[in-house]
Amino acid sequence: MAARLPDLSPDEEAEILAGVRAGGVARRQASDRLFRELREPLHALCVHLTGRRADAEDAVQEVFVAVHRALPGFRGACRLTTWVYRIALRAAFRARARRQDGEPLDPETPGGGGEGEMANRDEAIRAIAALARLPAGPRAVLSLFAVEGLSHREIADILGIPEGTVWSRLHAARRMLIESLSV
Amino acid sequence: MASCADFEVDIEKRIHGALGEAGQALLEEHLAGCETCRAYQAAAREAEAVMSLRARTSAAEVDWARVERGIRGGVYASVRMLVGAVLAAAYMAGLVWLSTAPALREGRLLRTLPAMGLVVVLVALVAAYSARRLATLADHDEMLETHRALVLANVQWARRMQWAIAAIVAFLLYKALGGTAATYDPTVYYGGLAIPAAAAWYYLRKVKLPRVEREARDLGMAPRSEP
Repeated sequence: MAARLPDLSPDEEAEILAGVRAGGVARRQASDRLFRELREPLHALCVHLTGRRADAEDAVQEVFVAVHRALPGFRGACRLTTWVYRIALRAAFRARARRQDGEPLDPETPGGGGEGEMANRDEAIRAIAALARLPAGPRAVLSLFAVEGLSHREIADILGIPEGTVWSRLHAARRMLIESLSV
Repeated sequence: MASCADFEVDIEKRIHGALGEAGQALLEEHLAGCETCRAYQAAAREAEAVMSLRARTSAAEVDWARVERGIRGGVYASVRMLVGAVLAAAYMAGLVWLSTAPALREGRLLRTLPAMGLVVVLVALVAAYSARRLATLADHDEMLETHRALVLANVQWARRMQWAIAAIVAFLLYKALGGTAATYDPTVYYGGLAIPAAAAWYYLRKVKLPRVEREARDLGMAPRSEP
């Protein structure tokens, strides 16, 4: 299964918030539910943003610690999932910055398989390295679009930009990625 | 007349299911005669496929139980910081004890109590804020711009603090090596305070500042170099 944005309706988000604010066991259950619903898409996002699985796991941990602490004070100015994704972007940028310049990306490559798939794996390694060379902004746009289930409207909400701007940002980021691939 | 750049945006919309039928027909017509846009489409689809596959394979290998343990540990990090603050206060008390003549220890310890209490309160405030820092202004304006502003403020704070702490270390060493006092040994007291202050300076200079500067560069900012 690909990482998908959970289909949390506003009512379900309100339930989670009420549970958090109630405290005690309800808070624990609400936090667990949020974790189960969001962990995979957040991890997918953080893998692309950090370039390493270990860094992505650290970032996901930081996200949920921050959410646990700050959720009771969440003002509801945006959707709960939007808010969590915004925190995830920042956690991933921070996790990546903890890595020294020049430290290698993941040694493992997507796809696996035997010798016949070597060419595809090499292509994948090249694409991942090219993505890692991009600045944070374009990397964020490409990574958000790669999380299955996020619509361009939700991405616009997460980035806090108009819907139309999302497409021009994606196009500019894609151009940079293609240039980076040719390096 | 639409340009190739316009059609490339349409290619992105089609890949992500946001291009209407009329737009698709126009795009197909353009692609039939434009090799550049066909190459763009192939590159975009390939990159999407690689990223999607990577997301799936990475998520399948995560040990979520370990991540949950990490989250629980993070939730209780502020408790650990408070324990650290109490230990720091105890360290100060130890320095007072060691540097003072036996007959004067109690009186001097009592006079140092407010300073110890201040250390505990300051660390408690930092502990309460630190885990929420990521969520600061997370529902505010354009996300990347807000984040850039916060990172830039962090860079400036770290640069100023390194000089402030360096000055404190210099002052403590000056007092430790050249100071005189009738009731206590300044070498033990100020020297003992200089050790954690120097450690804080080293952490800020060698770990914290390079990290926030890397983050600033990653965000496309080039914070002015230090003289």
